[in-house]
Amino acid sequence: MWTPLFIDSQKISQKDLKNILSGEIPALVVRNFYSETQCMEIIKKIETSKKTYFQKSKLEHIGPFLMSFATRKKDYFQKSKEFQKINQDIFERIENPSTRIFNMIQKVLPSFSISLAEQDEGYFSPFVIRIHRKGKSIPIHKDNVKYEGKEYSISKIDQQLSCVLHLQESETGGDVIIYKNQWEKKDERYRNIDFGYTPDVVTKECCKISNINKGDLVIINPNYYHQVTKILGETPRITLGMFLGIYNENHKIVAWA
Amino acid sequence: MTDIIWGNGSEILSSNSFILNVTHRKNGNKLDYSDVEKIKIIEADIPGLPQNESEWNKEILGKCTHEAFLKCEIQSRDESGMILAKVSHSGVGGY
Repeated sequence: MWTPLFIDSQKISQKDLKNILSGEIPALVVRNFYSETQCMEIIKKIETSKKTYFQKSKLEHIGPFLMSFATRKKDYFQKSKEFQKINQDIFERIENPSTRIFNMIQKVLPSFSISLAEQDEGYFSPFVIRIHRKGKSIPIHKDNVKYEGKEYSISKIDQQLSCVLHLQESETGGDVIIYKNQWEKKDERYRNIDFGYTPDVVTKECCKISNINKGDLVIINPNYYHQVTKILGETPRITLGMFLGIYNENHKIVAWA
Repeated sequence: MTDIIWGNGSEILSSNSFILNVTHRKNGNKLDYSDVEKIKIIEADIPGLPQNESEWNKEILGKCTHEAFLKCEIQSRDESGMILAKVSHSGVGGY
């Protein structure tokens, strides 16, 4: 059985992170990374942000994410700069998730430095908040900045992790499925037009994580194919996601969205 | 409306042309397209490919297009049968 490891943030070891990177385990679920009360407070702030920055454009996310700016570097860094203020507003009274994640990783890998990614044009976006409403699903896909982010300095990383903080779950649906096979360039022949891949690209062996609670942090190796099933409940699924890029030789970790 | 085809880049023919293995065609295309088409790039939006065409060569084009999933917005077909198109990455982002 290929099953995730449910763990307390204080108990994560280097071996756990290695096991995610190597595919030994599909995911690390850090229970109660934020408390239910903290999640509710963050959601309240997000709703206020929505009125100002979000609802007008009917976007389903707050904050830029690099892959929608694959060849538009200037726009990405401009949007990332604009997002700094929103980020500060949302996390005015609660510890910023970047700080909390960095501290957790730093304890596990003390010889590595960890910081928000930056290049000549400025700082990268620290995270993206995604709001998925009823009927929405995320098709089978991978995230691989080494392939998709060639225009950016972070494409030179050695390994990538995805960290997703679950701020609000829907009543039903919105489950994460991780498949036990990694993306390879030849898989591009299975692409859908807009986004993602046809089911032919994945192996039968997979892991469905349906018992994620509000406040849990899910860490995966995003080069393993993954998807989110259709949200069936009235309550939107709200997550906050960031990537970590590891430079093995320089003992450096950078974050971006 | 412009005809559009999608597919994976294959053999590189020159610094600005390549073979596309066609996998998808837009509904409502005016013309038919075969499963393998020769594409000449008249405009590009491909990660890793320099904006300045004078910097392109077969090696760089190969790195950026070989096996990559690409969108080709077709302008015309020349007398040799080659398609002249705007070529872009297709949906690497979106979520």
